[in-house]
Amino acid sequence: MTVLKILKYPHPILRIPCPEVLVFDEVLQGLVADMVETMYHGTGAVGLAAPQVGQSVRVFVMDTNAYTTRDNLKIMVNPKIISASRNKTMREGCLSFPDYLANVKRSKRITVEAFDALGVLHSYELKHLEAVCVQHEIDHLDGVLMMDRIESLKTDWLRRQNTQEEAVDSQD
Amino acid sequence: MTPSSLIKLVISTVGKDRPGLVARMCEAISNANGNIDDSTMTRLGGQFSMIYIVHFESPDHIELFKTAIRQIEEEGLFHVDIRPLSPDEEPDLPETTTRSKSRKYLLSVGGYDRTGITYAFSKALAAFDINITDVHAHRINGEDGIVYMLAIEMDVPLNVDEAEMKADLETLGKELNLDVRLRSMDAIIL
Repeated sequence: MTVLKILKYPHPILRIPCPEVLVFDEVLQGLVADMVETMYHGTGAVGLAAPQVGQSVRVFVMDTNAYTTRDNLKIMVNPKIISASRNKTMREGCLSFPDYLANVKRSKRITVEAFDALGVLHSYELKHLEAVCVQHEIDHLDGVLMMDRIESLKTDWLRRQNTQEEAVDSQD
Repeated sequence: MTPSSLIKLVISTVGKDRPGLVARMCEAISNANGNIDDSTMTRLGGQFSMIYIVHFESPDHIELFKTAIRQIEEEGLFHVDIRPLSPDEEPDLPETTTRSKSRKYLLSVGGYDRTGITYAFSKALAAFDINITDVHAHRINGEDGIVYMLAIEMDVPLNVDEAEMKADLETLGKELNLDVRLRSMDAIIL
């Protein structure tokens, strides 16, 4: 497994909507393994989408326990949100936008269907941080970035200051 | 006290960022019975800037305030610029009708830094008679160099054709090799 380089804005691949995965082969499984390795490799992130490592395919990995127990890994290929609840504003950070935080409205609960790396379809009912993570990563697969989701420049677009601010769930 | 007898000042300050600047400024205002009508404060590249609109009840109170400010400046905390706000500069009251004269948009621009980015986009917006209401612009570390992030919130007159505005801004983005996004920020009035 390899730790991949994380691309930052304004790399053009971050703006390209990703096509669906059609073949579930060892190339895909290798990419997924490398993405998991990269996510766990001290990034401080709980999710990583394929375009962030230069691959324009609808794949992301996530583990909301990525920097504690690492026991909640989910691999999502061709994810589709089937249903979503009402919104809650969350403060998010992004590996491809390390200098900023953004307050973004996200659904608190979602049902998402996605394939794993072997092509088996799964359905997940997720809430709170996991639900937000899925929506953030699916945005990456659509070429959408945090700045495209804010509603007010004054209140929702925040530059990280000298002290490293953590992205936290907040502001119901 | 009638509103017309109030004296309003625009107070602009900038100084090296450190704890206590806001408190010192507000202490000076409060000790002179000043009332803050509006203010914005932010940190910019290690400097802390504050702009206040404050009303005072009398010239004596303003003198008291200015004396306090002179002391702050002598301490070297920050530089202060004070000017009176004339009645014809009074801000419009917030929109109280659902029938707005403009639409709110957010323009975000990002790409490798070069001179003239803000100028190019502000000039393009001025050509449409668009009023800029808020700007955040920063240099950040990007993939292969310094990236300039520019975000502009603006009031677009109703007679401006959205498609034409969007096309002009995107063309400018292509010319300067910048990522340009424009989207409506209008609130739904229910």
